Amino acid sequence: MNALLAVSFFLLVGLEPVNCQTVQGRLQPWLQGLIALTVFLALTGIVFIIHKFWCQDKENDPEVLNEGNKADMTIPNGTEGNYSTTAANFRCEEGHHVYQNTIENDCGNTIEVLSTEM
Amino acid sequence: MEQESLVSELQKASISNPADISVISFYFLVVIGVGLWSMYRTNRGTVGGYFLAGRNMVWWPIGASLFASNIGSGHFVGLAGTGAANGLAVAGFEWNAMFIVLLLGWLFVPVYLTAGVITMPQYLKKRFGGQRIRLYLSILSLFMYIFTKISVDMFSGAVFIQQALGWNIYVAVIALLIITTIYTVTGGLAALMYTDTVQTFVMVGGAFILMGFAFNEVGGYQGLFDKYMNALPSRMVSPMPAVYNISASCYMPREDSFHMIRDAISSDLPWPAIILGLSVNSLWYWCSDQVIVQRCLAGKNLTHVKAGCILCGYLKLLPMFIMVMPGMISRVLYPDEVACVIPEECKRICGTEVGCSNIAYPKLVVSLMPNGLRGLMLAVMLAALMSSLASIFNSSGTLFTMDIYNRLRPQARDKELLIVGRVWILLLVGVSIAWIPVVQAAQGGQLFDYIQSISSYLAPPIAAVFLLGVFVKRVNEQGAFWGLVGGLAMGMARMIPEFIYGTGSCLFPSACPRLICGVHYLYFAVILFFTSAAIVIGVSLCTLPIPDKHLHRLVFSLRHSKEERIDLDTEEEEEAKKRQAARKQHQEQAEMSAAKNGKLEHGLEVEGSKAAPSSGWLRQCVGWFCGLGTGSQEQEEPRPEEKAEESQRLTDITEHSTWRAVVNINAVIMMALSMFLWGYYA
Repeated sequence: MNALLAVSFFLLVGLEPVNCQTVQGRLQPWLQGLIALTVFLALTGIVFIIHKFWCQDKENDPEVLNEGNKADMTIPNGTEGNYSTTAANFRCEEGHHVYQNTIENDCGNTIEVLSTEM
Repeated sequence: MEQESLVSELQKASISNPADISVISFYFLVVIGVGLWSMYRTNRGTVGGYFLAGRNMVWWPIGASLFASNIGSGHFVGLAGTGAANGLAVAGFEWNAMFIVLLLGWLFVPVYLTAGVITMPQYLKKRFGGQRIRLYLSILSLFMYIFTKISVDMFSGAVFIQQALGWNIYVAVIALLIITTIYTVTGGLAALMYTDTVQTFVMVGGAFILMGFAFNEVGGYQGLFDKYMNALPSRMVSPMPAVYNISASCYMPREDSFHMIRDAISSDLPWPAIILGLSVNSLWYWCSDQVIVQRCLAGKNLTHVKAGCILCGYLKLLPMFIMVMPGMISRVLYPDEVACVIPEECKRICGTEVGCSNIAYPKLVVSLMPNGLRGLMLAVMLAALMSSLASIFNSSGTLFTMDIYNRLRPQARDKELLIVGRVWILLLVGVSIAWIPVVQAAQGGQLFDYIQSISSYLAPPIAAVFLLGVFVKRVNEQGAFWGLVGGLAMGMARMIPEFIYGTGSCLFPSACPRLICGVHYLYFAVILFFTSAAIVIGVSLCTLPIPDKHLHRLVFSLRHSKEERIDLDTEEEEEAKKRQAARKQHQEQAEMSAAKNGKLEHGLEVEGSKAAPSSGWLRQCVGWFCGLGTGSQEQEEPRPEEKAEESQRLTDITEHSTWRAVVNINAVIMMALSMFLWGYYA
């Protein structure tokens, strides 16, 4: 124990005081820029991936206007735009003549179900 | 007195050769031509047409107009001056805004669009209800326009004209104002946005030419970085050692001149302040201020607005190279003038004792540019000045008419509102001229600091309320109002002592106690922001929330909601109904009387048609010019269905998926570029 203390003491004494004070030389400016760029792109990538996995309902994003889809499908009156129109979602278990229009909102929001008596 | 000596000294440099004059007159012809063309093209007779350009703008006028209304002559003078005094870091003000302008396009504008508002106070009223917030915000915004924007821009424009033409500062200002008011008062937003586009071209082109000349003179990019540290004035010793001594730190360039990320405690622009504090100020400037948001609301659809924001972001890269660096070059080339340190000397050179860094840019122009190009640079300054002044005039006119006048006189008709908006602009001009001497006296030294410090004391509560209002459903009227009031009180507690004690200079520091003035103004902005936010949230949690039925399409999380909103501002609707009823009654009365005096009317009509052409010719001309001509009078009020359809179109925020992806990718590229530059100059 004593030997270890002595060694470290001599080492500290032996070192020049400046050794503890040197400021590391700055990086080249373009290198700094490149590092900042890489960090930013990595962060963007992470955010993108999170977004991709958490909000997979890209097709029904109400902010996006999908052309061509509307013409192909039958759309019940007054339900354009926001309502998913596939037949599976459309039929309701409550009864034969009860239909439900599911509204699929943007990521993170709850899915509301409106039942329509026909 | 000081102005006269200035004038006589600068007389030599005045622009009087034919080349310069022809360039300037060509420039004016182009601007007026574009203004007239867009006036002819657009409908200015309605409130939507005049104030929102018919909501039909594509992305490039939006982006150019955002840039042109942001960059005023204050930037040319202020950025270059602060650059000359303190080095590169001041460009952080511009590069920080690049990110905030994206926030505007992606997060704020969708909400404002679906809310279907014209002014920002109007948004707050819809969101929170009640009159007091709306009134408070409109008055505070108008106040800030006069004290931070209009007077500073006019002052710096006048400094430049004084240097270039040798005119008296007031003559210069009045000449400028006449030109600007002509096309603001007459044109409306569409004319403004198209002329802004022209102005942007002129500004960027001219500034690039000057940058070329400046770098050529100083020996290239490397030359600037080699010589800047040695740019010292020749007289550095105090002539009166008994009265004051000059310490080396007052005339030496700062150690960290070439860095944007500076020490957090001891430097002039600490890095946490640059990142956080500036974002708070920018949040107010870019995302909740009428001048900027109004331009975005004029967009054709959301994708165009986003693309415009990206264009503006790219343009915001330039000020570092076309303003800050030339300012530093100016210090290298003319250290005796630009870096003067002895008060008497400075007074002789530029008329203020605290320092002459403000003349850095004008000095470069008058001494480096050849004939003809000097005229071009004058045009550049005029472009910067006129475009941002005109934007502020238009927006404050909008604020005043829509938020204040409309409330005082709810029965006012569209035509009356348009006229009042224009008269208000004239009034505003008068007040701003009266304020110029104060700007001149208060902070002749560093203009940019003056603007930023005033906005740091007043803007953070507004930024907090908008941010929370848009993103947090729980915030209610009481919270927002007391947050604003508390924030204002805190800001005033700092601003008033600072004005009383004065900001001081390097030689004579102000006597303001450290407790009040010691905190850096950007740190103060951060503190103020978080305190106001805490008040807003605290008070909101203690009071009742606003039910969802009032908030559909007014907050970010409910922006796609299709449910019907029960507006909180029902009062206004009642007012509108009353107005309509009054109008109808008036009409009926007129019809009645017409039916009664049918014969008499007929006789008069014949006479009238004879007399009209001779007396009404001038009036008609003026009427067309102001967009109030026959066209708008004959226009019928649109039917309710048409109105509903129109508002449906205006509040629509759906986007085409491909174009949406394109703007998203572009935004990422722009941010990546900006990050690289931040790193490069860190």
